[in-house]
Amino acid sequence: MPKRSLSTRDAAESIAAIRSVLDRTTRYTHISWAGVAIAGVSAAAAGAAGSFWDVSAVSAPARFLALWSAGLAVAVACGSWTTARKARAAHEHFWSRKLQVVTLGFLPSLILATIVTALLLDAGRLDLAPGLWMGLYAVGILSVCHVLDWEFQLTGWAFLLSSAVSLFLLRSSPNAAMTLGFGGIHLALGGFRFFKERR
Amino acid sequence: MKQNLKSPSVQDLNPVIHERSRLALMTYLVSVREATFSEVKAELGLTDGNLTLHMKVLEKNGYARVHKSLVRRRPRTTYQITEKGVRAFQEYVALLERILDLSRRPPPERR
Repeated sequence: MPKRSLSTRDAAESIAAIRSVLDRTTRYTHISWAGVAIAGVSAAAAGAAGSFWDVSAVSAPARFLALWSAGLAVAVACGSWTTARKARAAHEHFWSRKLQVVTLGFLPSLILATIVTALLLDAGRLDLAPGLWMGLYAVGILSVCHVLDWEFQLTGWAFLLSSAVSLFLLRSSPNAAMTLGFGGIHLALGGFRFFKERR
Repeated sequence: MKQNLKSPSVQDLNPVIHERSRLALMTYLVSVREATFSEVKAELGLTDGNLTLHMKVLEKNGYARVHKSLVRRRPRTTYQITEKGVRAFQEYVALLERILDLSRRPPPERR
């Protein structure tokens, strides 16, 4: 193999240094497997409660919204706590510039989801909410996945697919759709990140 | 039009950016545009003295701006990349790519 000149090696090392800094400073890696898994468990629990007490999206929209808002609150609280722990362990602030980028990228989908929910509630069509929530959640993830690990891009596409399944096949069972989508995909992602972080 | 036939080498690279710590600083500032002293320190793992020293060099060359302010009665130093700094970094990376590109080409045959 021909020896590379000092000039070439130096240039290659500089490029590698640039890549390393960019990779380290622009990728957000503090989303913990535990936080994601808790979000999955929370969705599964809300889905089980919804099925057990027959909380219908059409006949009891207020209870349906309250149930899933509670599930969301648990997921966000636990997710924030596990993320803060991971950031602290890396000697970084919780509300770091990278988390601000992720939050700002995600915010438009969150705002649109709130507007869509209000509209569906007004029209008495909350049965469509799970599919639309999953679709908007997918758009949120896909818009920030360039600063996250590669599995989040896959997760975004999985939510987009589950959105279509929910809207076309599971419209009559919104609790089941939510359990499969938000529960199943988050549990799968949490499990994958658990093995990835332990490796 | 005359073409520059001289192959670029590491000696042609901007020495202000080519130093390892400053290269890391420039890369970070180009990607985030603006950052506080503590953010830069945490992200790049530089000591206070090193960071101040290298930022002074970048500021002297017009590649970065230093802004000092008081936030809740505490001093805060913010670094910002300048347009000149962005251009210098882009030229530096382009030259690196040219050096690597030339090294991948087979050497010309001797007659």
